[in-house]
Amino acid sequence: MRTTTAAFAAAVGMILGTASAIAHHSFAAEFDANKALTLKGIVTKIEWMNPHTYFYLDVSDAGGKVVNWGMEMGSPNGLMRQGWTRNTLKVGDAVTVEGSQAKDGTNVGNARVVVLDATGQRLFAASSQTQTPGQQR
Amino acid sequence: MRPTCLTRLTCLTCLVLPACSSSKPAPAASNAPSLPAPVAPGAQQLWGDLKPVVSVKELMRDMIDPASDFIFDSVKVEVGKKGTIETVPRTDKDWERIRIGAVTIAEGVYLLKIPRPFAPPGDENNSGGPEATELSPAQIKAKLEADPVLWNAKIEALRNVGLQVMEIVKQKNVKELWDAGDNLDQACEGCHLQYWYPGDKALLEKFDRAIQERLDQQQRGRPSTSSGRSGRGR
Repeated sequence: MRTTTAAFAAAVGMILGTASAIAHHSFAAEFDANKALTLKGIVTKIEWMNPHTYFYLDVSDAGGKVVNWGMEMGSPNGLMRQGWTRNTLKVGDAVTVEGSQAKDGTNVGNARVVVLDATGQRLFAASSQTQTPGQQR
Repeated sequence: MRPTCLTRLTCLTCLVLPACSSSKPAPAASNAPSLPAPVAPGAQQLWGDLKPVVSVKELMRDMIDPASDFIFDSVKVEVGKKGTIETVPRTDKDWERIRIGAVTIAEGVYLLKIPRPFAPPGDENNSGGPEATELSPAQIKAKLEADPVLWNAKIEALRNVGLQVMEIVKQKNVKELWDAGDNLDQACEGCHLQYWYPGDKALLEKFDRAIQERLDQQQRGRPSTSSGRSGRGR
């Protein structure tokens, strides 16, 4: 578990370090639209910051191994325009995330839709490249 | 005889007010101080030649992007298992760093008015292949030359954010920094989606449609046909 956490921290540090050095990037440069990603997990951390908000979730695989994923979303104001508030997502919430995985294969993704498992509420998490189609449900 | 303050004020009022309220030229006051001849737009004199050193891509990566981070990184809220950590500028040094970012953007973005290569030699961006979303340097150049007004509008949009942040720093207004960060993001993306990666929009719309269909199918209780990596929460 410790090894997993350390490895994840290194990977995310590398990715987010890069993201920090190059704040803006095309979706296609960082994420693979052909690597659709569906994750079910428990939210461990949320970072509200420009130009991208991030949240992290613990995901356990079929063997019970827990991996922490980092998910990129739109800017804080962009999310507000999609119906989010600062209290929409909380540490400990069970969520299902639809998005795509980083091209380098690390446990980092771009979230497009976040579903709150407790209520079924579907939230769009788009980056500013597009206004995600559809309505909140 | 030196004019009194009141006389000066009257003269200035005569000169300034008509200019603000009417398009008709006002007759010059006989005792008005001589003003320099107006400079026609586009005829602004520079003190010397401007010679670019790097491409647009390098200028953005090495100057504008790091300067943007000074603004983006200045405010942040981290919510974790141990509570909430709020990052805001607290010291003069913190504010100085934001000002450096703002000034660098406001002044530096005008360097994009100097014709220069769009990428280093041999760098074609991600412009080849069926899933390419970026324009090649030649495509960017053609787009700019077809509509230079748009290019300059994007430059002014970013400059405006730099000027806005300079004002925010003067007032030390933390709340406004959040909106300024969003304005900065919008200004950057507004330009990038025109000139750098316009193909992202169509790619993401297609990707989002597939997600939407998958979720709708799941909601109706039918199994999804789309493949996707999945994990189970504990």
